[in-house]
Amino acid sequence: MANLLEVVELGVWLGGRWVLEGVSLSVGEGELVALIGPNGAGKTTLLRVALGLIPYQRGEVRVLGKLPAKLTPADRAQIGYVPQALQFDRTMPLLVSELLQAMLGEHFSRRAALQHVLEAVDAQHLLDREVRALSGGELQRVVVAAALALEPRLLLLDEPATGIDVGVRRQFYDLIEEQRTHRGVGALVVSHDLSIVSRYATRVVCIHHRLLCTGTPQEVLQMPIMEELYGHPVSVYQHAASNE
Amino acid sequence: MLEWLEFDFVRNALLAMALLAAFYPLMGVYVVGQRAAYFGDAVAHSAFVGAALAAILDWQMGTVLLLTAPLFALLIAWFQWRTHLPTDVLLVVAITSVSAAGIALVSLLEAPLSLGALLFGDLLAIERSDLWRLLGVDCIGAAMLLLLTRPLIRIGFHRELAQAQGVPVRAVETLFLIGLALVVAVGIRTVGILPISALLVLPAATARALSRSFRGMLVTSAIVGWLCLLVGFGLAIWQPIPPGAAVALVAATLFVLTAGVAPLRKERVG
Repeated sequence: MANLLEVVELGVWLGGRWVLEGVSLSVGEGELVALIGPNGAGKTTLLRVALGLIPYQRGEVRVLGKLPAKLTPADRAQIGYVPQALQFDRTMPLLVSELLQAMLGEHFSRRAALQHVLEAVDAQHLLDREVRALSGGELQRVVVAAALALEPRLLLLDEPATGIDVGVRRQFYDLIEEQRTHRGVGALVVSHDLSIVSRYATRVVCIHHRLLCTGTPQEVLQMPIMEELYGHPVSVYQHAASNE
Repeated sequence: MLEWLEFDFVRNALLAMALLAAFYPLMGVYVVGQRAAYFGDAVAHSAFVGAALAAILDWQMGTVLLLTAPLFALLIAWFQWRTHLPTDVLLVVAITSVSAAGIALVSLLEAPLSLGALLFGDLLAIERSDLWRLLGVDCIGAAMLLLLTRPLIRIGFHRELAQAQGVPVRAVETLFLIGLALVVAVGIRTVGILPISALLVLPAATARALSRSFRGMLVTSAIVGWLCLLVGFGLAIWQPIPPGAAVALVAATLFVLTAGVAPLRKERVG
């Protein structure tokens, strides 16, 4: 199985300290790897390194077989990235349709095509809405829809379901699951939602500046270190909607 | 009735206004979107140095500004990338430094320069060469915006996401800043250092409060820009006010009026 993302002994020095040190992980085709750890553990930093947005000092990183800094625009089109919510500029007048056209290009200039993109996350009704009038969850769905529209091979998702209703969240992860099983898409997902992690992840990687543990969701969530990290015994709460 | 149109300087003034109104309010939409309003102001102030150099070298001011303004814009951008200083601090340093340097140059070398014309423009001294420069920069600017609209929307929405998706963010931003510097430089002769930012930013800021979409903002900004120039020029003919100042005054009045309307509109929507 080819690895879409390969991180070996990664070391990142930021702000006068090692934010990441000796972290290794990989994401293969058809895998959904959940990246967990407490706040400030370096999870977002790892995604940003993989995208070539910040440099790293030690180790090796390969994305789609290339160094992050060598990724071409064509390579980047094969990577679907969803950053954390609450960081979007929502001050300019901009319709959802205009934003999607800007993000997706001329192949999506027709209204029907844009509608279809939004249908994937059950957000077709948002097409003519103003971006600045959307709730955090609605905006996140639009960005997720844009990330999936170009049929990427690798998804890098930074808490993608933050602010999304539980029912829609399940629908979103079902969609990722479908992409994973049918198209062999690989995904690295930063998530704090352990019920989602246990239900959808094929593998879990837990970090806190360093690699703490890795394994299947069942293995990792029962490790004593989880109790240390989260300050209490970890039991997976099943959302009501996920039991439907 | 229209005998005054027979005069070259009146025709030139009207043409210069038309060329400003045709493009500046559109450019302003992108300036507001990129949060570059204060940057434009800093570049406008670099005209103090440009004008002093032109007077000392006895070159045409319009030509010198077309060289010094983009250079100054690149210098600010370079400093920002190198130092990561907060933008507002850097721009205040830039504005005060170039203003002081320009005035010092003029005083020391006793260069023949009208500070009044520099601050508020000299619409009635517009020459044919100024018009060609305005037309040229309008065309270059329009081509640049056609090329950069999509990446600029993406960068304005979320810079890091755009970068991750392969938008050459730094190249796009640099190109945009050079374009903005050219636009500011060529307009200074007409409306002056102080009102040039008003003409760029105020119609777009007014349009932002009134529009739902990016296209709507472009159209509204263009209409507001034309309105400001026509009413402002009328005001300048009627009363002894410099045309640049009159245009800025009308633009500011419209902005204040619409800034009051926008919250009401939001409440209705909400």
